[in-house]
Amino acid sequence: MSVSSAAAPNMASDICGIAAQVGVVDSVVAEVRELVKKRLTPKVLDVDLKAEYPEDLLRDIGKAGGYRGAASPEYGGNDLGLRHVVEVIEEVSKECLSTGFMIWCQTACARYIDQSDNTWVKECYLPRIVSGELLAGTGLSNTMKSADTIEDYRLSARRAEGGYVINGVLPWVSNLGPDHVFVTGCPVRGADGELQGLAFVLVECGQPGFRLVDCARFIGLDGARTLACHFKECFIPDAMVLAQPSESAAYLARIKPGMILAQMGMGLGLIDGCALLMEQSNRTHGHVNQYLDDQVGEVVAALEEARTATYDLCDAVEADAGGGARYGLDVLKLRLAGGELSVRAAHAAMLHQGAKGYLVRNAAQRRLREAYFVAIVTPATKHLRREIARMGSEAQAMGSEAQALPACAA
Amino acid sequence: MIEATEQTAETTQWVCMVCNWIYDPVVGAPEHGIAAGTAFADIPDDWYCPECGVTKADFEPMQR
Repeated sequence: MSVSSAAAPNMASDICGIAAQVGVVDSVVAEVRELVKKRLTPKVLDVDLKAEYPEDLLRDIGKAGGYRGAASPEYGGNDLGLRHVVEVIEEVSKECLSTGFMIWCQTACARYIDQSDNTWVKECYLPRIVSGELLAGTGLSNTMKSADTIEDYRLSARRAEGGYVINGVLPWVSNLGPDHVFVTGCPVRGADGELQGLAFVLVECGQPGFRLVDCARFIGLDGARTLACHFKECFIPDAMVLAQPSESAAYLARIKPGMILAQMGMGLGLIDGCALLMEQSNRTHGHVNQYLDDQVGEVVAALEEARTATYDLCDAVEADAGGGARYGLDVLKLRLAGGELSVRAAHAAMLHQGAKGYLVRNAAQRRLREAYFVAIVTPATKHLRREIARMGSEAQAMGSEAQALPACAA
Repeated sequence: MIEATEQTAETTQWVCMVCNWIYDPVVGAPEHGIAAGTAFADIPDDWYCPECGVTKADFEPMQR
């Protein structure tokens, strides 16, 4: 018997959500909602407690069109863009953050390819990724943290004839399997050891010189197939390069805002699920829950505000030719708020549910574990705070310099 | 004196810098193919951290 089917009925299984979502629900989102209700809700405890990887469901969400916002129409996209990606992640994360996170992985990888100048990879891989035929991950956590001088690069690449040879280990990359692909970025050094820039590449998990190692166990999102990636003299041909070192800075600036902003889908869905747990508890325990610090109305109001801000920023990022680089600080601030509100909402849901929330099969404690993931997945809360502080200081310094400059003639 | 230093080296615990998993040569890692009493230096190079999958290169001697 599966853990999920043995579970007590989940009072939070009404995944339509608690906070008002304005406008007409997109038909794809509606279909994803049905898939979640019929296929994910009965399995959510297996994903959480037995690390079951919902591969068939991920493929079916792709068939339903759930990933098509991440690609341009000529490569299988639906022309609805980042907002649609967020809406799908949000819909799934209302029920299960693990699955919502894997949709983020899938669409992030698709978007990295879409934002590259490599037409061959776009033609060959994008239609298969956005249809769910090919599953995909993103191995850019270390790349991003290293680029922001938080940690050292874990991979290294050297130029070889017709491509790059990569060595090193990435410890935790999600949504992977022997026949999956993922994107990573690694520093390329010349013979003198000097950094020439980053090479962003698409890696096939079954290729020579590459090995997946399954060892890590996590307290949450353990069904997300998070594996270590070993590169040993792994040759990546130029055909699989999304950005060469000379163009990598511009490429990273182009993919970063969308990658981070799409994670808001996880936070929005999770917060919605938490608000539902609070509201359900209030039906019988409102007389005592009223003494808790965070009330459902406050959480829902904050959720609606965050949702509106996310959708607006998605539209702005999508419309910007530079991939939304000019909205970088706004994206970081919103993403930080998303992580903080996730933890706050899950904490409030746990306190509302009380002792029953402490049961292994109760959603409240799972949502609490999931909420911390939103706050610590790259870019983590501390990373976001550091970058926001750094960008704020730079903006202040530029303002001071501008003030110190003599006025230009009009 | 040299003998004492070698003995110290063989009992030194090593910590994974990625996930904090600790290798204790006294205990070894029998469930991962490393017998008790195996010094860290004698672990094969293709061995990986049981917790996060990184290689020996990501381990450092444990600082007390």
